[in-house]
Amino acid sequence: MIAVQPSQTLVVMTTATRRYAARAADLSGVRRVVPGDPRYVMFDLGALLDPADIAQEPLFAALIIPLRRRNVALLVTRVEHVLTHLPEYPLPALVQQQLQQPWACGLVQFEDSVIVRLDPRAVVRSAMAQRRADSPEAV
Amino acid sequence: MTQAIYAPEAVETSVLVVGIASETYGIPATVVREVVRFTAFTPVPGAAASLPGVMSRRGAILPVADLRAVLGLVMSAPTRTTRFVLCMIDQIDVALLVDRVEDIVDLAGIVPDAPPATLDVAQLRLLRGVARYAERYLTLLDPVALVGVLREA
Repeated sequence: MIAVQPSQTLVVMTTATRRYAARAADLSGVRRVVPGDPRYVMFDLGALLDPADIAQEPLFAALIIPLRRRNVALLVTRVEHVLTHLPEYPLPALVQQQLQQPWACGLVQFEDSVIVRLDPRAVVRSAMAQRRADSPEAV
Repeated sequence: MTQAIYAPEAVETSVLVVGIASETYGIPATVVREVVRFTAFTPVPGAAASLPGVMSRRGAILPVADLRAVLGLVMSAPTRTTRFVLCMIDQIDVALLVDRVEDIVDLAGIVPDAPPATLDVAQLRLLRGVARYAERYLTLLDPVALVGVLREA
């Protein structure tokens, strides 16, 4: 296995059933938020990425992604680590070529497993588009 | 639409017999590197159903191809018999997810029959034919066509 990118600061987080990573540089911050806080548009990250990955308890930890007018809070069960020096790898070409949503942009070796590195802005774009489609007056 | 053309020819000497849903398929042994027990792989969100994730094996990251999705067969949860068939096909390493692995059989000299015409063109593209072996029929997968389909999925 060949590491192809220099390590950058990565945030490793868990949803109800999954673990993901994101580059800290792709976020404006990691915060504790209060449900319903009007400063944020909130989404459950796990459920966005996999409808079966639904949190059973209220979520307070959030990855903050700035939009033009508002901030989006991607809610997660827990932010586990902020780390550097994790080996990063590209997605295998076959998988990359066939992505139906551009949410995954790489892989990270973390402990004994490989986890998906997300493109949080792509996730937010999809979430906002879905929100507009579901309720045009909400956005 | 491209018409599938069946051109019979003798198959490779050995094929790995695998079960996918209720069907039995043969994968040329020449492309098989290893068979490993199923372990949870890393799902990639937003990935195609035919390429749902990746697995790490001996320091290499392999795409997982779910043959049930590729062949349009019934999907089911992994069981004790679920296996990954690790293959190198057309210079691409890929882990094929199958419901069971049965045997390696020798088909030297056997010329397969054409696949059933009732199959749709998408499935026909993936098949080299049907070989009669030990009182049963074995549908022979074309690994290069399979990778081609995965690229187009």
